[in-house]
Amino acid sequence: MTEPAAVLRLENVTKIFRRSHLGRVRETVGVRDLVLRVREGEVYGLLGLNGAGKTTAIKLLLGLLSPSTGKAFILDRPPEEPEARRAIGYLPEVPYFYRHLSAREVLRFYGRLSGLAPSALNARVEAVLAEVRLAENAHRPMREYSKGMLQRTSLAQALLHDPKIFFFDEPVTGLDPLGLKEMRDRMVELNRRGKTVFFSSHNISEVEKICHRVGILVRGRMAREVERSEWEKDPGHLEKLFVETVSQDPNSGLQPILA
Amino acid sequence: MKIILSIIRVTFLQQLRNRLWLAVLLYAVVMGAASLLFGAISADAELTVILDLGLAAAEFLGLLVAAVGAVTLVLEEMESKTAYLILTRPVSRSAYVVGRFLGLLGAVLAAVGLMGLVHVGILLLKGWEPTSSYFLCFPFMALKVTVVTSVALFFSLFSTSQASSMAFTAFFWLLGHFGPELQFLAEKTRNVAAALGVKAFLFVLPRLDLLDYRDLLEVPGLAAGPLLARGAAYAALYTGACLILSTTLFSRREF
Repeated sequence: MTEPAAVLRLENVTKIFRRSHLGRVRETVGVRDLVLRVREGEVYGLLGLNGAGKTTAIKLLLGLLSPSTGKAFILDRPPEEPEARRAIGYLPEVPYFYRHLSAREVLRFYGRLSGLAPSALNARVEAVLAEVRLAENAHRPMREYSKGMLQRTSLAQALLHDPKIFFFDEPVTGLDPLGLKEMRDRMVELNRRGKTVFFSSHNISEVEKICHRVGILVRGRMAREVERSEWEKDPGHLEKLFVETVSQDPNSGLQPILA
Repeated sequence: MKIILSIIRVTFLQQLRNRLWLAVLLYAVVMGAASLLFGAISADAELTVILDLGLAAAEFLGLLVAAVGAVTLVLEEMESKTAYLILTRPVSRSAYVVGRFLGLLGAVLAAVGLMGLVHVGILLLKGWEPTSSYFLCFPFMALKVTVVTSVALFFSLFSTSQASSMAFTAFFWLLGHFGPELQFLAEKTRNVAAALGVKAFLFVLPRLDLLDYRDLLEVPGLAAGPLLARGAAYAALYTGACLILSTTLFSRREF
């Protein structure tokens, strides 16, 4: 059986951030020689400690950052290309919107930017608003929205143009148990509809429940990739693998905790 | 083009709802109070004072709103990460910058237009007879606002904080009115390096003196057409250059 095509690729990508202050240049490595392949139709979770390079990897794939060396691809195209961008839906960690506009106005705006046909735009916006249970409040300015409502607006904008690939940056951080379940069910449902889901998280138990594969980042490098078959019959095994992997890094600060 | 129009529309809406109308309200209150005050103090010069003050206040508020709006517009969106949701869609960075610029400009010009209506209303109540030179002031004002908005947008992408970009914009705005004086200084100085430096600075500085409409009011019979054409050509060139620089800076920016 042939392996599904990789829809997202990072090919030996290194990202070095250079920040100068008063003439002194400081370099920080975001990711180093990172190789990543996300297959079509899979749920791939990127795990790592704070500062491991998860968000950097996502931004490189989204084209918000340019690699210092190496290349990023979405469907074999550079992320900056319109065709690549049409294929993705992105849900940021913290939803930020225009406070003075309503969810309906914002979604119509994003729909136009995503290239939805004017004839289909309104119907699609209403359908997505209903799907995320925002239809009743869609006319209100978003400064009046609760955190949960903003999160649902964020989800709506990612779903709007029915992309093939979804990026979720720390999607379960800060959610209450109900919100967490809702988000998990949503990712599973998207995957059931044939979508590829790529997300970063700290939450190993969530990752364990929904991912087909997991990549563990340690200080910007892909330290280990784990297939679902390795943990599905042994709950808690992924956590063990994660701790084992990150604790091999002498700078992880985990040694006193594990001792 | 559709994408730019969408960005223009949303930016325009955002600005209108983001208390831009307060500038018009402030203008109406100041001008209403001024007309009462000057009516009581000096009956002879009342109309002239209200005319001059009204135009100056409309220009000042228009430029202030444009500068503050341009400085905060993109910078705030980058800091708050709202820009991510636009830039991860099939939108070029140049379309984003141009759309933002035109949307803001449209909103500020609409506000200046409303201030003009308030001004005309007050003047008519005072028995003023409309003149063509008065109405010609507004296209010049619009050109000035366009240039200053493009300068402010450039500085917001060039510098790292709202305070520094506001300071740069204010500096250019102020010195932009002193083109002839700086030219005079460059010609009179004996230091070649200083003269070259001033000339180079003059080249970079927006020549807002070229867009000064007060000449129209003060010189009777002055042909406004050529002045307006020269001003429009200059504003188009200067604004175009600022937008090219802004899109270049924004294209290189990482998030």
